[in-house]
Formats: sequence, C-alpha cells, structure tokens
Amino acid sequence: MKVFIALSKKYVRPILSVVYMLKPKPKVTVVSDDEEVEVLSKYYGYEFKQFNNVEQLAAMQELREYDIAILAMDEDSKNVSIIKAVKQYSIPIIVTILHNSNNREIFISEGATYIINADEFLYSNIHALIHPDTWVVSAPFSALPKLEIAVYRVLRRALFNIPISEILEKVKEYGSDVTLYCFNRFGNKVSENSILSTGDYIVLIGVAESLEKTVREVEKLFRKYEEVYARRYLETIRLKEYG
Amino acid sequence: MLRSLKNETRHAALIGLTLGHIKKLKSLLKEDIFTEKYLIFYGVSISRVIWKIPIFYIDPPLIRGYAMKRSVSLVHEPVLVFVNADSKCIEKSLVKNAIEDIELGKYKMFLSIPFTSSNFEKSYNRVVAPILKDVLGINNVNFPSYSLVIGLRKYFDLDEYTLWSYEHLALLNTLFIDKSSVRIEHSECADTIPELFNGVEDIFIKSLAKSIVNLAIRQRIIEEKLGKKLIEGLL
Repeated sequence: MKVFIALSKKYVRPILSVVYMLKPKPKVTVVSDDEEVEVLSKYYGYEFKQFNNVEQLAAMQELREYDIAILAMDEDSKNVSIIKAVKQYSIPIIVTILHNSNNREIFISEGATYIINADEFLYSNIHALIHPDTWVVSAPFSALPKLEIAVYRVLRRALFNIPISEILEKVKEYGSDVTLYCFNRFGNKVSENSILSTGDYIVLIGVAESLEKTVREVEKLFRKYEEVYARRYLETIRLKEYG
Repeated sequence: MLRSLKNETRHAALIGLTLGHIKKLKSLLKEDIFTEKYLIFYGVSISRVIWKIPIFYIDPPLIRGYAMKRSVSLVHEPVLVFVNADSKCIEKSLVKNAIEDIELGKYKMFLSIPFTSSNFEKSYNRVVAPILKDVLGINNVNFPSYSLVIGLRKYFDLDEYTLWSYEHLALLNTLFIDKSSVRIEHSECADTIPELFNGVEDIFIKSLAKSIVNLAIRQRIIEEKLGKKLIEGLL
C-alpha cells in the first residue's frame, strides 16, 4: 500500500503514529510546508517533500500509484486546494480534516471520501459542559456519518422528578433502533427505576433520522412535565391569595 | 478583435468577500466568465448563509486580511478578482474591462471603489499615509481599503499579512518591482465599512502600517534601522 500524507506540524504526532502501526509497512510520502514535519518524518523513516505552493503537488506524477491520501493541513483552504491539485490522479480514498463544519459541502463536492470533523468534537464537548438542559447531537465517527450520539445533561429539569422508565418508554415507542443510557455525574450507570437528578447524563445512540425524532419526543416529554409543574405552582399562588 | 473575445471564459477566479448582505452583485456572481468562483464569508455565522455558488467560511472571522490571504491559496487561476460582495457600487462592465486590460498586460494590478468609513480614514491618514508619502514616496493610495481589487496571483503570494487591508501589501509588492504597473481608479461612489467595526480601526490600521514597513524592509526599499524606528514609533 502507498500512503500520501499532507501534514502540518499541528497533526504530526496523531497521524504519523497511527500510520506507523500499519502492517505490513506501507510506503509513505509526507509533504508539508513546515520544517518541523521534516524532522519527524525522518525519525519515522518516511520520504519527505517540502512544498511552497500547491502547483508543486499537482506536478507529482507518481501520485497515480497511491492508494490513500490523508490531508491534515491546519487550514480548510489549504486542504481544499490540495484536494483540487491531486484530484487529477484519482486516488481512491481521500481522508481530510475539517476545521469549520460549514465548509463540509465544499469538501464533499471536491471529492473527499472521509471527512474528519475536528470542529464538531470541540463544539459538542464545550456545548455539553457549558449549556446544561440542552441536547447536543454529534457524529463521532467520520466513516459512519449516519451513526449519531445525543447527550443531555440534566440540571434544572431535575426539579420535575421525571422517572427514567418514562423516557425509556418514549424511546421504545418512537425510535426502535435507538439505545438509551443514563449516567450519573460520576460516570456510573443509573438504573431504570430511579428518577432523573442533577448532573445526570442522558445518552442516546442511533441512526440519524430516528435519533432526531426520538430526541424531539423526549424533549416534548420534558416540556409536558415543565407545564404540569408550572400549573401546580400557579395554583398554589392562587390558593394563598383567595383561600 | 477583442470584442469577439468578450463572452468567453477568462482564466480568472472570482473571490467575493461578504458579511452576508449581498444585494447588487448577484448578477456578477452568476456570470460565467469566471472559471473559479468562491464566496468567502468572513462574518460571524450563527446560521448558515445559503447561496448558489460555494461559500467558504473563514476562521477566525471578521479578519478581512486573513480571509484574503487564505483565499489566494484556495484558487488556482493566474488572475484574481477580489470583490466586496456587499458593495453597492461595483459595475459588471468595470470588472470585465479591468480583467481584459490585465490579461493584455496593460497593468498588473487594478484597484477601484473605496471601501472606507470616516473613522478608518482618520486613522489611516494619521498612521499609514505619512509612511507611504514621506518614506516610500507613494501618493495615490488614499483609502484604507478598496471594494474591487484585481491582480496577478503571484503578487498576492506574500509572507506578510495584515488584519484588514491585504490589498495594500499586494499593491506595494507590485509597486516595488514596477512603478507603472498599477492603476488606481477614483470613483465617486464609495462603500462604507459596516458599524460592526467601530472601535477596532486603530488595531487594523496599525497592523497595516507594521506590515508595510516589514515588507519594505524585506524588499530592501528602506533600511532595517529606519524600519525599526518606524515600528517603534507606532507602538
């Protein structure tokens, strides 16, 4: 197998160490515009080529024989321009790193086979930590873009005493292929008979469409509890005034 | 003879820089004379902008100079056409004629239609204009940025970089090589920089001044000692 890697210094360690584990050892060519990458690719014993502009890559005739291209530059624009340059050599698998989720369609239209969304990982992690009581949906594996995972951290909605068994019923009803897990704040699994409490995580795993539908239905359930709670609260006020 | 060439495709790439308020330029963006077209969105996006031609989102947003620098590597054509896609002044014929003139070799870079605001101009006249006039001897670049910038690609490939007006660096890069190769057309119509950028003008203009001095040092137009003095004066 022949592997072509366009690399920036930011991604040297994760990518080269993974490629190094391949057996039997492939022929690897690393290209980069950073000097640091040259040192590391020498350490791993890979062929290295420095490039200053993309035209130099477009002139690499030997790319015709390569089986996989990994594009890990630190800018979306650089990745796109390299895809454009090597497209003529029709490398069967092109893996690329995406930094801004909005640019995904440009990558698809240029012909990237797998898109690793680095942006989404950061976004969903920070979102889940900072915004409790909202759903965070993300696709963790770029090879399986339809497999999605939805996470919900409970904070204020723990007030409503929602039983987990009710959520499970909803999941069974609306998303037959969606799996539900509940964890407490320490990362231990919570049994089905208990009630949602502060710091709990609800995790749903499933295929994109049915997962989205299930998330919507569970959110509806939460809203219903919210409404019931609000009504009860209003009634107590009324009782105080007139009763 | 040239009339007959007018409808054919050019080896030019259109790069439309936008903050998401495209109005007048729709017809130019749909034009088929460009072989490569990109809209570069450099605003802060909350929701996605939907448009018929591919939109490229730049990180970090709001930094126009960075968006321009990055988009140079995004396209491969020899002639680059940067337009402010939110502009109200750009005419299709102006763009077409300028591309034609550049392809004929009349000049290497063409700038028109100021993209400016009063605060930007004040800051520009205080900081950058003295350097351009007194040190480098350039008198005709009077505005902090331009809505229409057309030029040969090789002059945009620079090591230097600035936060707002990348066209100034490309322009000087051309001027240092050949004084007569640049055309700056003055127009009555001018675009205004949105209010969004109020309060950050000084940061943008100082960054431009620093990059201009650095470029001049690298091209050996001014001595390093003088350059360092100029940069110290800015801080």
